[in-house]
Amino acid sequence: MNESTCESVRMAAMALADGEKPALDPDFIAAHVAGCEACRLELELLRGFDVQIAGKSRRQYPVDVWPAIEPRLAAPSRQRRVFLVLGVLLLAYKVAEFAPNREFGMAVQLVPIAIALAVFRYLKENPFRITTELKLEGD
Amino acid sequence: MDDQVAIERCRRGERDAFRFLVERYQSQAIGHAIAILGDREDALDCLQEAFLDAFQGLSRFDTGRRFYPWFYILLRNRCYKLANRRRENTPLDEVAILAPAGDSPEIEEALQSLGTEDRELITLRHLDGLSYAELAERLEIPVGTVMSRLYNARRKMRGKLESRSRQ
Repeated sequence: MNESTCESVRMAAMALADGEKPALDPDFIAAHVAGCEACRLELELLRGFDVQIAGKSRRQYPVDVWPAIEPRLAAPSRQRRVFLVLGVLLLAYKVAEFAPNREFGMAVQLVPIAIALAVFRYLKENPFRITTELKLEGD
Repeated sequence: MDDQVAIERCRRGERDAFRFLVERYQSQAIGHAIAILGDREDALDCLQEAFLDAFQGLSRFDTGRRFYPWFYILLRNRCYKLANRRRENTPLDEVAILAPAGDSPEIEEALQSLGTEDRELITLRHLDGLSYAELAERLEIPVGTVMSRLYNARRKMRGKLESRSRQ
């Protein structure tokens, strides 16, 4: 039996068991499962897990976050303040660049780079990193 | 008061209306954040930040949608952002996901040992009973992807339960 067919059939059979519309025709699923012992066994095990977890519920955690949230509703967020300060600095630098007889040293010319680094440091993110956070673990 | 009325009132700047939403959904949301992060303190931090994000984003909220699935996306983004920043060796308090705690240690242990995304998916499906369409909305992925990811997550869960029973 083709392995990719088996995988598709198992996925579709589980969707069907969940009461969802499967990606394959239900008759095709039934016929395949009837003739494929590996699929039958795998589906049995998977349904066994469904039975084990059936009827379980989430533990409730009493929590009251309102007292922590309320005072912060009116104030601009810290992140917004940080970006505002960095934006003003950058603007001031650009305005200063228009000055006619400017003779800024090397250190001053590094200001925009320093601001950009400050932003990335604040965000604690590498701008060149490819985000993988939503990648499947098995991939 | 229902959610739509509360949202309209929030948009007019009424804090009590937002308090209504916070108090209505905080218990449900902390359970979801704990299932993603596996840590109560981190979950609380993310929950607070997500509610603040929601308050700031309510002006853009489509009132044709339900509040909680929209809020869940904000919460989830906060949780994953924190999970990515957290160092791998950060000790977690490993709070129980299932109720009552200690009732099904083998399932609890298997859930805790799953990867973040698999644990999130399994708990949303099996503990909250979300349909594939609802899962797709919450996780912002197509229904077909829900199907394949759920299948893989179940296989991993089964594998963990099997290896535990062999021990």
